[in-house]
Amino acid sequence: MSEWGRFVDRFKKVGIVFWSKGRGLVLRLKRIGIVFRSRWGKTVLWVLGGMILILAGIVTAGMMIEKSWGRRAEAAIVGEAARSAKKKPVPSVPLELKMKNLSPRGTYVLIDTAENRLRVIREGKMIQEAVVSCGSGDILEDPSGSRKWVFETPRGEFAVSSKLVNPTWIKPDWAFIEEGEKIPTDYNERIDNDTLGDYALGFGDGFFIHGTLYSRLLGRNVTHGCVRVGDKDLKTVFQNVPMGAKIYIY
Amino acid sequence: MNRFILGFFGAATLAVFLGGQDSAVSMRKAEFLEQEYAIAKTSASYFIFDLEARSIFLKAKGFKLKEWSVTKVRKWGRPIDLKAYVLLKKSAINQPQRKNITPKPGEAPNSSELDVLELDKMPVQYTLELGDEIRIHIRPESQGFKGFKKGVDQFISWVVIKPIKTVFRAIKKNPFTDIEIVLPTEKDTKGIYWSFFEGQKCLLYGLR
Repeated sequence: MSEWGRFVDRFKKVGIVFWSKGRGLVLRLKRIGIVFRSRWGKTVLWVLGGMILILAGIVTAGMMIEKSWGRRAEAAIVGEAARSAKKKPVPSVPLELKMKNLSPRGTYVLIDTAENRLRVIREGKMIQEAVVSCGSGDILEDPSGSRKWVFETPRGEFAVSSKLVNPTWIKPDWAFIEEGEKIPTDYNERIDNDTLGDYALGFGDGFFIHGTLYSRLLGRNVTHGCVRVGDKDLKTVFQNVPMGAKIYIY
Repeated sequence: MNRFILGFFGAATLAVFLGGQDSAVSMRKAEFLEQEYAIAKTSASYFIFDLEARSIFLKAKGFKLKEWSVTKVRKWGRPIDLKAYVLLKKSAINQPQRKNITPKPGEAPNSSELDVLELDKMPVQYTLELGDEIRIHIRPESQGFKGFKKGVDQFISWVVIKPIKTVFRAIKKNPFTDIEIVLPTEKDTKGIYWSFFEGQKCLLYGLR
């Protein structure tokens, strides 16, 4: 069947559907008293009928164009696949094996920022799961207007770069700005020995997995970017996860 | 004897045809694995829309981080090339907004007072724009009256609006692809909106 033949065949089907819907509407209007006996009424009916047929024609053309896109692109894909199959050498190492070699080995950490969960995986099995708090996504602007911080836990692949016991937090400028306090000139005023808890694992650009003073907020996205863990879980994470272990945050 | 010879050649032709189909499928699978390997080598995480298996995966280095099952898939427009696409934009009617912190002294608020960007605040229905005029519309399954209304909207969109859009795009020589993916629950759609960030790569497989 030629393209024109296919168009006419499809137009008939689409046209029948549109026409019957339009006719059904007119009959329903007649039932409720709206009739088209007058010359104007009949003109309106003819115009509506014409518009329905034009719409059916455009819709049919659209459907056929969509099908032709598919046929042309399929032919190109099949042709390209056949040509590349002839040229391509057989790989020496199967792809599945190469993919498997990309996966992390040993112990690694998965942090789900949507569910606020931390999982420690060892040799493919989950050995620990903890409820955590991840970044709030909030924005803080320096009143002077020169700086802006977005408190989000970064996503991607990282590695444990440090492991600290009784870590000390050197409060950055945003910690004072957020509290409405003046930024101290004395370095000692930035030292905080309590907030990070008993252990901390560093990763990325200044981020940590550390303890929390607000364990009732675990499970919520409330932090400034770090990952907060409850005391008991934090000790186990610290013991289970070695230096250099991969961390995947998503 | 003639019937036997005819039957033999018929069976042989069928075997060649089916074998051809099989090799086309395995070629596509091999191509897909190659593409995934290329992304896995260079990206920390990526999405795989395996619409033949009715699943969406968030993966890192070839292993699965998260999986969502797909209830329904529909496609309109030009077939999709098997190559990596980058998420250019996410658009939704109620796009979540980050909160600007007002500096003030005080203790941490109660959990009920918190107003932070969390999974619950993500939109339920949205559009993902990839390159090459490909748009993926994601929505949850609707039930009851909402489902009926959605069905009517979808009928008008797919039977009337898309064909008309196709005619105009064909005149401009600018074909497009619209994909509709329906997921079982609102939590699933919110989860994908949360996890799929702009600039992240993805692969689409299983849609002709």
